[in-house]
Amino acid sequence: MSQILTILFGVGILYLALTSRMRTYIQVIALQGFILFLLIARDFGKLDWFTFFFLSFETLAFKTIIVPAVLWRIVERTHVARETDPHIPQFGSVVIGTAVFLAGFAVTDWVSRIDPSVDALPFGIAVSTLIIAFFIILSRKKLITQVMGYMLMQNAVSLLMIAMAVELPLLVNLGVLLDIFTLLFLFLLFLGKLHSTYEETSREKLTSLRDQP
Amino acid sequence: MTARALNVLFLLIIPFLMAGVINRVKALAGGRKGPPLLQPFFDTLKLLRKGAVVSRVTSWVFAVAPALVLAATATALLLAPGVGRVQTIAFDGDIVLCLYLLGLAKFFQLISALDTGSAFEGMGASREALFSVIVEPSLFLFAGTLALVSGTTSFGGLFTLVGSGAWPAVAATTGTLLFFMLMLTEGCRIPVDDPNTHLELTMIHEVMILDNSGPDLAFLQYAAALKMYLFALLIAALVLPVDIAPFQAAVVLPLVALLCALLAGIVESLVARFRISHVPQFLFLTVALALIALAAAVYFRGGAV
Repeated sequence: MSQILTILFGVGILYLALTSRMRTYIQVIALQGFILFLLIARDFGKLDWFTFFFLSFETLAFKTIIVPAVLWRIVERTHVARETDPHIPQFGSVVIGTAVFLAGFAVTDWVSRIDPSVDALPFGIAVSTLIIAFFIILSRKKLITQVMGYMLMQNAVSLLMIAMAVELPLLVNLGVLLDIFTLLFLFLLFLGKLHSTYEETSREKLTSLRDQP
Repeated sequence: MTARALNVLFLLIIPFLMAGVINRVKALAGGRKGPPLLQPFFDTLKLLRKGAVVSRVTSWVFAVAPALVLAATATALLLAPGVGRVQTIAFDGDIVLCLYLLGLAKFFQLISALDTGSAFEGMGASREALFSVIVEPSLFLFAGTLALVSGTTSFGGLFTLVGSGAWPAVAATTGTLLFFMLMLTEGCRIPVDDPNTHLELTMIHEVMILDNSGPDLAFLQYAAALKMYLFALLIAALVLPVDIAPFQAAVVLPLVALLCALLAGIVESLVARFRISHVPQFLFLTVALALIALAAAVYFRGGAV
């Protein structure tokens, strides 16, 4: 079951490569958060109760509910419905995403030969998702899409940690949580202010920023 | 013997039920009661009792195409794994014949649309051909991957995913998603096509059959429903346990097909139809899924392929 969930996690980001709708991005981020929660719930009994509670709360409350809800609110507030004119068209993105997946599996094969204890499938999907999320950040123009790409990277890192070891260091968990808090503050302050000045939250509009005479 | 008889019986009933379930789900989602589940069957009976109107510009191609499309699709279904993965007709390489029969049906449907001389039907045929060019490689690629791994070219053995590790899970998941997307595409359903549209410019499959009427139209509509059932059968062959008892399979198989129809109805209720220019992008995802399955077969089986 966990393998099926892991593949769905990967297919989600492949679907994002071809879509342009912001709400689809948010739905996939929430779905990935929920999949991470289910993968952690699978390890009930293997983790100590504090780590289990902490990771479950982090994935279910933050990654599945709160962050997507905030993103949804921002999308509604800024009236950014879709990424209309990306640097690389959606079709090219799917082709590149597929190539990244194939390369990710090849890397996994290599890693699992070096260290057989690595769970090959989550590792391969996590590496592929990480690179595709990075590609989404580079290829999209809207700020909100780029931040969503960052969230996807966070999800990929979480999956990678699940693949690497069952027992996660507490410091890493706190780091992930800190990222989420920072992200929320950035969203609420930065995007809110930006929207009051510019109608479009496109990265290209920032080039017109200059000091007041 | 019983399994083969059940395969034929299901072939006559379940495609209509699947179409009925989709219509009912869409109606319920829209706040309506909806038509009876067997309404597509009653519509087909009504069309079979009617006469056909044939344009004078058409040739013999238009006359034979509907019967040929139905015959080819029904024969392809007899080759597919049915109850307990038992095929009604089975031999080595039957999957190749099955895929070519589907190709033959598609070819005759396209030239039948072109035979009418209508610009609209030509447009629909062009779109259908484009989508087939994208979809069929994914089907061949996925089937080829399964053939390489299983070492057989017969449908029955091809879809028997055994062993442990990541490969069976990857194949089952990517295959299920792939066949579900193909079911929506070949069954002319939203988000690829809209069977209820009345705007010729947005039509794909429906515009190709605008000139067909009476029994010819019934044949083509039944053939479209049969294709949906074919992909539901392939999904069932992937997800059902290998050691399922025959009587359990006889009960579970129709349920899986109706579950696929239920999901298709939910998709149609929640998702808007894609713009024509976006459909190839969506369909390329099927190729991506087939490639992922191939990569998993190569890497997660330790280079066994």
